[in-house]
Amino acid sequence: MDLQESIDRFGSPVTGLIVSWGAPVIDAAELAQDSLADAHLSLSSCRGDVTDPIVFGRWLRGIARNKFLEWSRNRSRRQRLSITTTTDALDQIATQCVIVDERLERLRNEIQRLPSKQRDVVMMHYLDETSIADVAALLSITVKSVEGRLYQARKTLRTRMDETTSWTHVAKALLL
Amino acid sequence: MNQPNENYLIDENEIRTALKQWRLDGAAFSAGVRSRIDAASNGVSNLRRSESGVSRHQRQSEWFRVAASFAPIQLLGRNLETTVAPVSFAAISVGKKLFVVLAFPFLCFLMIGLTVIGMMRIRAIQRDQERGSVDVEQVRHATRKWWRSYGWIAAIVFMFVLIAPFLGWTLPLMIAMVGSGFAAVSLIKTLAKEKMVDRAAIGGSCVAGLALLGQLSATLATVNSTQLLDPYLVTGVLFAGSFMIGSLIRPLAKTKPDAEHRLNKPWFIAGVLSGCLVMALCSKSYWGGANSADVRQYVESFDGNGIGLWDDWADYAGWLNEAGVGFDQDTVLTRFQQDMDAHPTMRTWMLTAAARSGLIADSELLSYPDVQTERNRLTDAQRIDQPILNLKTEYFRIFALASSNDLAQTDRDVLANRLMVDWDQLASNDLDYRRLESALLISELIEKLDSETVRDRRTADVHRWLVECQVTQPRVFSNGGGFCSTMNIDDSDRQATVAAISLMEAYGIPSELDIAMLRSYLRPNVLRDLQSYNYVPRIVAKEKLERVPGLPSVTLADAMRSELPLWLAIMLVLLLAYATLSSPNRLPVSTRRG
Repeated sequence: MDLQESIDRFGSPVTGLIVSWGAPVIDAAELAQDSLADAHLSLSSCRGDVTDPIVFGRWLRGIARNKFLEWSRNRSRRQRLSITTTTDALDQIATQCVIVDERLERLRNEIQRLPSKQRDVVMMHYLDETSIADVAALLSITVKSVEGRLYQARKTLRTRMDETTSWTHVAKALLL
Repeated sequence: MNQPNENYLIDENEIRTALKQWRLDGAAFSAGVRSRIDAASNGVSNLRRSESGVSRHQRQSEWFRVAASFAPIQLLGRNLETTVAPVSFAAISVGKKLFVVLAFPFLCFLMIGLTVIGMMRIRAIQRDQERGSVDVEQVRHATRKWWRSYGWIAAIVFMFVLIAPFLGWTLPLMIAMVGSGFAAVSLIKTLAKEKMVDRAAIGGSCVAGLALLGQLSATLATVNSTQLLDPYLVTGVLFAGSFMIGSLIRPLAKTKPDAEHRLNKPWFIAGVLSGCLVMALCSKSYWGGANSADVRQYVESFDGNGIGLWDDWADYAGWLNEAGVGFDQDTVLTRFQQDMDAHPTMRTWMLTAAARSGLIADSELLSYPDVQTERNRLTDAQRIDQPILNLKTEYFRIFALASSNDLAQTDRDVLANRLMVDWDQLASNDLDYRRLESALLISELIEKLDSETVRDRRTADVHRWLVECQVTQPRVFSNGGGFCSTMNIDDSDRQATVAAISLMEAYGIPSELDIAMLRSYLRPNVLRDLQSYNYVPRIVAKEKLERVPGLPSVTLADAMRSELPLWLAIMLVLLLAYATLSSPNRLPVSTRRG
């Protein structure tokens, strides 16, 4: 698998996966770039056929996990810097793109609250239209499992969003 | 994708829209990956980067030393971006600098009050003293009389100081200094009754008293105290005061009869220079003390043949990497391999040190034959309830396996579970040697395995052990404030303290821990810091402590309380200098019979 192909196929889902693990999106993108670069540079030490997306995906996920753990270990030291950076960046985003739909904001929060396995696949699949096959390759699970998790995630999100909406309606009814 | 009950599912487009703002810029992402690969191919020198880091830290360290020479550093607050210095005087605002300068005398209100009252009494006594001649023999006689009358009080005070190691260092020394202040006023009063107040007599007593107190403070500077600054600063102030007051007078024995003992210029210059020299030596921690550059030098020059083990070395090297200082790994690696060849029985322990410090890369460790051959044994699901037992031997293997990108989750779970069995054994044995170090190894491996196994229980255990292992009770010639290596040795251990602080980084600080005592244990000590096996763990532990999230900062009250001996010493020297200078300079007349 050549470099551009690996970036095109796995760049977004790896970023989504790292966001799902708990890194801010800016850091996650950096970690994903580090992981792809490292994976490319150390291809020779990957056991198995690196042209096989399943082998490469497992390999890339392992590197990304180690990168994320390293980032987490240094978090206490980096927090001061990254919190400042992230806050600044988020402020910038907030000022640039006005949230037109409160529901979307709520949906993002609910995605963050999903069980980790469901959150992983949602972030990987929907962040940038990654195919289910590539998500499955990265997670070393079957396509059916990904589909099952996505189904559960969407169901959970529907339930939670409806609950929230109904409570909002109740509140509005009481106030009006 | 099969979607049998679409009405019960949230719309996919809605999820896509929600995540749209986090979508990546494909071109920028691709360029970022390529630039990383290019940078790696071009071989960016990590060493050069770390060297520039050291020089930056050294610059900050210089500011820190300047600041520390003006005021107690704890009052300045902490600059979180610095590595070597906990504070940068340059970084604080003008208002804060002004506050520091103004706060300094206010902190000493107790001692200032004592000094002012003492000076007023001395002035009142001396006002009716006339210039003229003084009978040396009569002065000696009056002084001896005073000692006979009040000497027993002084004896009690100094005996109290001698038993200071049993009670802690700070309080007895402070009592001795306050007692000395009162004694000086009392002596002057006694001489005044005889109309014999004389600069040489007063100054001689002050010099002797300060020298004795200085000696006591130096002897006891290495035992328990609550000071946050180097305790030898007190010694320096007392000795410097002694020399400088000595320069204002000449001993009666050196003065010819019927000749006024006026200020002698060479004598004065020699006294002042000696005082400055003593003060400079005693304050070396703040202008030429050990810092991260010294730790780096120690790490780079370590060869396993001197004092210290590779285990301990790994903590220091690991910290250098964490702090971004770095070290020349190639040089160390050569010596490491030589030492490993010379001591094959220590191989596994040494490889564990190499893994912890990052000296040998994960990928290289993974290629070691015994890592792969031991893999099945370590990850055997049938042994899931068995401990690893020899953690130091197996650490590098588990570390390498955890770093591998193809270790299955089930294998990770087995390893994490086995490590928790070791943890439980650690919790059940109160007399375990180096318990904190073992707990740290297990924690590091569990974290490396990406396992969050019973973290709450581990946190509770670690907090309990930290409180139990901190040495808070003053014992004879023991160091309080740090952590002991085993429960039946009630003395602070340098390595256990480094491990304890590393555990705090991972699990937080227990509320019952005495942070003020821990800070005091980690204070600089000009004499102890002459040996690398003292200052290296101290600096590493101190720097790590300052980075622990949630660490309470030093309050004004802490700084006032902890540095009282220093303020008292300064005020005592001022009081005695005033008593000497304000005494009339008389012509000595010897009336010795025969």
